[in-house]
Formats: sequence, C-alpha cells, structure tokens
Amino acid sequence: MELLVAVTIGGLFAAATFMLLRPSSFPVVLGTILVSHGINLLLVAMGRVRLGSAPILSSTTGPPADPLAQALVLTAIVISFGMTAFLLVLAYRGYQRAESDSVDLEADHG
Amino acid sequence: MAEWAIVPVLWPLLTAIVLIMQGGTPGRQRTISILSLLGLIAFELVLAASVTDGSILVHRAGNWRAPYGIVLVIDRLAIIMLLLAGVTALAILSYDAADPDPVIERLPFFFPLFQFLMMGLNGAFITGDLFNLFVFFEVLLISSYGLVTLGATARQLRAGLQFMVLNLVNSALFLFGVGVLYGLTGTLNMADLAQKVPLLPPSDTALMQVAMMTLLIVFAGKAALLPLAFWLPDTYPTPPPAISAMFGGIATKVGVYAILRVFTTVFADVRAPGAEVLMALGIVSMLIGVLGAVAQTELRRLLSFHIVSQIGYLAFGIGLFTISGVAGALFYLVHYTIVKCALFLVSGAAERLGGSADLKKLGGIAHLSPALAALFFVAAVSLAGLPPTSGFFSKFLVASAGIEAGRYFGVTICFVAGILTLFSMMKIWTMGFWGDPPATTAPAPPRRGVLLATGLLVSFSVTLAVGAEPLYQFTTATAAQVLDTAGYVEAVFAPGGRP
Repeated sequence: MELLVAVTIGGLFAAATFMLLRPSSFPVVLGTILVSHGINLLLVAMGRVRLGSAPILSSTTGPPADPLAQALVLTAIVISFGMTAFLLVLAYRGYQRAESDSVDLEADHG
Repeated sequence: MAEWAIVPVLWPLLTAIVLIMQGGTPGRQRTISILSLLGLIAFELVLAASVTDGSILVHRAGNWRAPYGIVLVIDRLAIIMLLLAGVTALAILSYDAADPDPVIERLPFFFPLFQFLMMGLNGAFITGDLFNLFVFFEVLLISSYGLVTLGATARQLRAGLQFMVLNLVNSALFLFGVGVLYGLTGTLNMADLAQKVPLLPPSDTALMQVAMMTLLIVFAGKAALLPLAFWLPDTYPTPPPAISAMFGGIATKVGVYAILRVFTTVFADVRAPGAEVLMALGIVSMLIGVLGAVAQTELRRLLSFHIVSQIGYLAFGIGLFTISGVAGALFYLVHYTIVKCALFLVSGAAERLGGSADLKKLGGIAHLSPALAALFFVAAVSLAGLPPTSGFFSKFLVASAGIEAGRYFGVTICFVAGILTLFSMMKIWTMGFWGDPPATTAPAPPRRGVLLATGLLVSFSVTLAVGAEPLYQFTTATAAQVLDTAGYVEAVFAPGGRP
C-alpha cells in the first residue's frame, strides 16, 4: 500500500515536471494540475496510510484517520481548483491576444 | 489588547467587502480605501505602543489554546512589517488619487483587490501557524494575480501566466514542506514546532532537513533571491506604476519576513546549513542583480533588477543570525521598502511626463520638473548608499555585522554592489533627467499631489537618516526578541484559552 502511494505520487510529480517544461501554455496548465494532485496525495499520506479508517473516534471502526491532514488537503484542493480556473482563462486570453500559445514572453515580439 | 490582534486582517477584508458591495465611481472607492487605510495605520500605532516594551500579543482564534487552535502573534517584528505595509499602501493610494492611472480609472476593482492584498500581507506578518501562513500567502498571491494582469495587455497576460505558474509550483513546494513537517511532528503551530523539531530522532533528521531546504527555496522564490528571481523583472514593470510600487515596495519582503520568522522559530536549533545557503544566495543576488540592472534601459525594469540586488543584502544580514546582523537587515528593510516604493512612483511620474518608459527616449526631466528630479535624486542617492542618507546607514550596519562575523567575502561584495548601484542610478540620471527634453512631448508637469505622495516617502527616508540612532535601537531590540525563540514559545503557550 505504501509503495503504491509512493509510486503514484512520484509518477504524478514526474509527469508534472515534464508538462511544466513544455513551451506552450496549455500543457503547462495541465502540469500545474498534476503538481497539485501529487501534493494532495502526499498530504493525505502524511496523515499515515491506513485502509478503511474514518476520521471519527469510535470503538468499532478501529484506529481513526488523521482529520487534520484531510482538512489541509480540502483547503489545498479548493485553492488549486480556483487557481486552475483562473489560469485557464489567463492562458486563453493570452492566446486570443497574442495569437500564439507560447509561454515565452519574447515570442510575442518576434 | 491581545484580543484586538486580529484587526489588521479583518479590517482590510471588511473594507474590500464594502468596496465590492457599494460599487460606485473610482473616486468614491478611492476615498473609502484611503480613509480605511488611515484608520488601520492609526490602530496599528496603538498596537505598536503596547508591543514596544517587548511584550508579545497573542490572539487565540476561537479562544482555543495553542497548539490546538491558530494563534496570531504580534511582536516588534510583526509591527514593523505591518506599519511598513500600511505606510507604503497609503503613499501609493495618495499617488493614485493625485494622478489617477487610466487603467485603474477604467477598472475600479483595483481597490478591493488592493485591500485583499493588504489582508494577505498583514495576515502573513502576524500568523503563528505554518499552514495559516500558506493560506495568507495564497490570499496575497491571488490578489496579485489580479493586479499583475490589470488591463490585460498581451505582455501582461504572458508575464502574468509565468508569474502564476511559478507561484503555483512554489505553493505546491510550500505544501510539501509543511506536509513533511506535519508528518514528522504532528503539529503546525510554529512555537510547538520549535519545541518538537530539536527532539526528532536521528532517523528523521534527514527528512526534516529536506523540509527546511524546501521551505527556504519557497521563501527565496517569493523574495526573489537569485536563482529563483528571473520572474521578477518580467512581471513587476508590466502593470500600472502604482501596482509596481506596491509589489516592489512590500510584496517581496513577505518572503524575507517568512525566512526570518521560520528560521528563528521552527528551525531555530537546526538552521546552520540553511543559514549558509541563505547567505550564499544573498551574495550572488547582490552582485548579479545589480549587474542585470546596469544592462537595462527600461526605467522600471532597471529598478526591478535592483530589487533582486537589495534582497541579497537582506538575505546576507539575516543569514548571519546574529543580533547585529538581523538588526542591520531590519534597518535595511525599513529604509529600502520606502525608498524603492518612492523610486517606482517617481519613475511612474517620469514616464508620464516623458511619454516613454525607455531611457533612450527620455530626457530632460530635470528641466521639465525640477521638483520631481530632486525627489528622484534623493531617493537614488539613498538607494546607492551615499552618506548622509538612510541607505548609507543601512549598508554600513549590514557590512559591519558581516565584518563582526568574519564574513569578509560577503562584505566585499556588499561594497562592489553598492558602487554598481550608484553607477546604474547615474545612468538613469544622465539619460533620463539631464539633457534636452525630446521635442515630441507635450510637457505637463506632474500634479502637486504626486510630488506630495512621493515627497512623503522621500522625507521618511531622510528622517531615517537623521533619526538613525533611535530606529537602530529599536531594530536591535527587535532582533534580540526575534532571536529569542524561548520567549516566543513562552508567549504563545502562556496560560489561557480553552484546552
């Protein structure tokens, strides 16, 4: 289980790094989405990886999951959702204005 | 008094809500913003009066005792930052009131965004919780995304996209550092972390150091220290001058503040490797930043490169982690925030007057408006660090702290960078202010209010030079308080609040 989580997080980061280094803006936006997914998984994993445990103290469900880590992830998801929406609008407006999807600043002048 | 410590966060938030709700003309929005800011500064002065004796105000949100609830902490360092942010913002809004920028006139939601920016800044300065610091960074960043792209020219959209992607990745790394620390210690309260980090078993030390270096990278990226600074000269000059001045004046200082706060609480006992890296980055930034500035011919872009160089001085002083080093860096911070903001505003007015941002096309500003030229002269001399300005004292304090600690290489670079700063200021002066005005411009000298707003900042800088001794005493007391981790922890865990 730990191995699976670790490999998934690593894979997300690897893919995100590749996407972030692309020259046009849409893959870069996808890259930021992958980064935030990787981080969210990592945060959940930091509250310890346990199968089938709920963030509720109870005698029947076994040891509880860490609710704080989940609260942090919830905050991070909300922020990254809003940011992704704004980033997409920004990239699209930039594409309309400059008629190129390039991330590079100088490409507009050339 | 402690229960009022949350006001610097709530006040701008409420103002922003009022501004959004009532809409209205830009003029009305501006009046409300300025009045609200004056109220905030007055309140911060009251807060300042109760922390100058060295006491620390701790507000427990929801009255939950630390480390269960979030605490807001106001000490001397926090109050210096709060007041600096307030004064800079006031000067910028008065500048804009005197000479309304056409972009801001057309898009009056500049004013609520500006208040949200203030909220993020103030929150970051007073929070005592690492995750809360992340949230306030986001508040600050989200409003700056809006401000950077205000007007939506093609160039702004490109620069805004880069700025935003970079900061999203930076925020992700911040969360990574916070997450690792939480996994190791089970807490996010800075005072609690300060107690738990030194007690970590040796098997966890490597992971803790990864978290420390990640957070250093994150804050260095926000502060624009060198390998992570290339976004800044592209982003800061593109929006209207008032917004450039706000970013150049105070926004990058949040990163510097965060480094100082986190490395004197959370990592206080283990910071040695981080401090070495910080100092090395500072030295590189000082030199390369100013070399970048010398090569520029666009006015605000040149000044943006100077930010990188000046942040290097701050990083060098803080990286020493001695009382004199931190005190010198704080003195520098106060001086440089004000002077940098003044320079951005003056160059905004000069661009308006000369009709161009390019130094090659500017000329004869001293002829067109002697008062503006005089203000630029004082601010530029102060930035370069010539006596008898505040810049001289701040460079002197940082350098003498470096000599005290035996860091001769860094001190040498301080002086070299100072001379190059003077050189680049002379470049602006000879190309932009001397000579004949270009024949095409229709000279309309800047309005009196513009001169008044920038004059306010420049006179602050002069006052700092005359009153260097009291301020230095205060920053020394601040440095002593900041470096006293046990005192911070004790204040946060003082009895009171619900368990």
